[in-house]
Amino acid sequence: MKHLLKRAVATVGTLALLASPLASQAAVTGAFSAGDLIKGSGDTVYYFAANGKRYVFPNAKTYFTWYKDFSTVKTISGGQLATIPLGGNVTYRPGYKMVKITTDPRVYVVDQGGVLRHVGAEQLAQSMYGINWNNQIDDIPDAFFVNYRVGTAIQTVSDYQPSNVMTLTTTIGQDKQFDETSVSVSIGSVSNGYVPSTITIKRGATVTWTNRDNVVHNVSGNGFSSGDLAGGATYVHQFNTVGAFDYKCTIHPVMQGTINVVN
Amino acid sequence: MKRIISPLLLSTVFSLFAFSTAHAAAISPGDLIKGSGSSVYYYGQDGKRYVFPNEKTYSTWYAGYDSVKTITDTELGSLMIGGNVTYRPGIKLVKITTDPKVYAVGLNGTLRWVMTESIARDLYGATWATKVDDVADAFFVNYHVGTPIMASSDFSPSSETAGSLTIGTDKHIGTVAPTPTPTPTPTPTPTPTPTPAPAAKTGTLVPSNTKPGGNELVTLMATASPSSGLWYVNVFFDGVLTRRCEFSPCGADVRMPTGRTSVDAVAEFVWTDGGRAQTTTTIDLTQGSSGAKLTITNPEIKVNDLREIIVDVDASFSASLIDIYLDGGNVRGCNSVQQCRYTAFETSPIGTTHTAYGVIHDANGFTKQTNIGSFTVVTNPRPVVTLVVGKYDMNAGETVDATVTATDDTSVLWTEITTTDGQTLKRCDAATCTISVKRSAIGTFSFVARSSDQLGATASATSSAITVR
Repeated sequence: MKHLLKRAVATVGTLALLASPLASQAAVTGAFSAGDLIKGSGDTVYYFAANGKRYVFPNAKTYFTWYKDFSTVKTISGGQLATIPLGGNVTYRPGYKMVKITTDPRVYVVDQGGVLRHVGAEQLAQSMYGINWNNQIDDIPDAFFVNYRVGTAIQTVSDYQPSNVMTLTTTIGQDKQFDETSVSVSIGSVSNGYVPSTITIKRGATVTWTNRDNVVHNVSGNGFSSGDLAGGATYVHQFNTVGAFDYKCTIHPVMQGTINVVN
Repeated sequence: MKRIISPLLLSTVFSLFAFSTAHAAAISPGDLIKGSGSSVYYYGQDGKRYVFPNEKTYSTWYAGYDSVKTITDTELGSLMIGGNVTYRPGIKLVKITTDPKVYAVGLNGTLRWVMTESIARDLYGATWATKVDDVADAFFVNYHVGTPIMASSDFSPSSETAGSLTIGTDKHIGTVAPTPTPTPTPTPTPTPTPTPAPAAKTGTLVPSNTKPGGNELVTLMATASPSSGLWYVNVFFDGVLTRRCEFSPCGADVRMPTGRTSVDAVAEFVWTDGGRAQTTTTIDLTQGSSGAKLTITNPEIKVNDLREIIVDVDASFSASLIDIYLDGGNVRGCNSVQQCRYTAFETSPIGTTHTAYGVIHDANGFTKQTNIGSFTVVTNPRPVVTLVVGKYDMNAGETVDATVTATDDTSVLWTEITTTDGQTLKRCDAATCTISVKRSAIGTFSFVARSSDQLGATASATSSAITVR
């Protein structure tokens, strides 16, 4: 734990340095889409998924297996952030590095969906990650082991090619197998509005609105209308034509949103 | 990110006792164990070790570290990690770093939203706010969200704690099939104990409109009797806590749902002496507002026939949007017209009954809703019979005209007109049949039109009563 503690402190330092210049220049936006990185008023960065939920990076190391820096992070208001439910934790990008659990001597490679596969022999590790394979292992704190599942062990070199695995999974959405043709928008309180208020989707995708507020709202646009949605209720609409579709809540007209449909 | 990692800093506490126990010990399920490092684990009945994500979680279960047994690192490494320990139920309130809701913890890491401050005060005392711990976003995944706590009677911290003596029982570790914890049913309102002549405590809940239409605003007025000594009133509308007052009468403005026939409102009264009362009012929703009309062209339909639903609104209401709902889903929206039409091929299996209604919005946010209509998928639709009567009020000796028209997907074999007294007046081997009837007897009667298609399916329609003076 002490060991972990040092790592944690080092990690905090790294992240804060990188994040602080960003925080000063970023303007608050309501426009973001599935696959974007978002943050609220704090420093914590989340992955916004097609299912309308935000996913946590349990530590900086996990973040840097997916992204080089914080240049693409979009800043939203704290209220909007709180409107988006937490979905779970992001796991290591498959193929990027081998991992071990702090108090477990076994070495694992990471497969798609956070599946850990035991590497039982040094020559296997060497053929996959080269002569310096032992520099390619990260420790995962015990408390984050629960985010992974243990799959079948690696038997031969042909079972797992790190570069192939990395090429196959380039985004967190692919890793977690989110259905990108179905995206979600949360309906928050009157002040937080639709989250995200502006979202870009592909033609033919469906949008699901979920009322996460405890008062009635609706989604009323040109050619689509939800009727009144009580707390927890959802409305689904498919967008088959390209264009910008504005909508609002007719009960609280200050709540407005836009769906941008692109090819 | 800074915040996520900070709870781990608290684990310095763990290192204080790292050297206190030196030799390996025999362990049994339910023990606390550690290796040469400082992390402590719960050794489960399934032979796996469970991680305490931070010191705060540990302290909800154990007061100190005296009972921790030390084993070798090899032994520790050979034990699989089973999962993370969650907060012991009932001890603390928690919130997620980036979510303003305060949750109570139930069995097996169930988070139950405490909906109001006074419920929190009821359950955890005046200093409830000091009992709220932050759970880092990254550990939220260890919990799951259960049903909200809408009233203090929904949750008892002490019995939750008593029901989870060990981490093993909390997580059902080692049990073969963990049965999901049933949602606690709200405790029924206790009937007041008959202490010497108690003033009966009751309350009423009265809607401002007893027959509102869909989407209409209605004020619910909750009145406590007696109003003195009242602590609070909760008004629930359609299962959602809508208003809470510490006075009586208490008014709550609510909007009626659409596409429903009735909706329930509940008022819950609590007095400072512990007296309680609850009352439920069912509001029947008027289906159809004047000027809004739903037409289903074919009340019976074959597979692959066209289903057609038409919603009309008269000129007194300027429609900006007409929506047609089929089986609860929005299937069509029409802008800036007084009529909206939905047409589609029927694909449902024989026997399916569809329901449909229309909602009409104007630019100012006012809405009207039509009746709820239905149509059924059948193998051979019956003919659709329409009956037109010339007049409904006549003097004895006058004549009245009646015309029956039938349409069918095959073809109409015959049509006929009878009266309610069973007298057949005319039968035509055609799709239309007209008759003029002279009535001398004073009283009322109705026409009945019947028709049959080539396959023998018959249908009828009855006119309104015609009065003969």
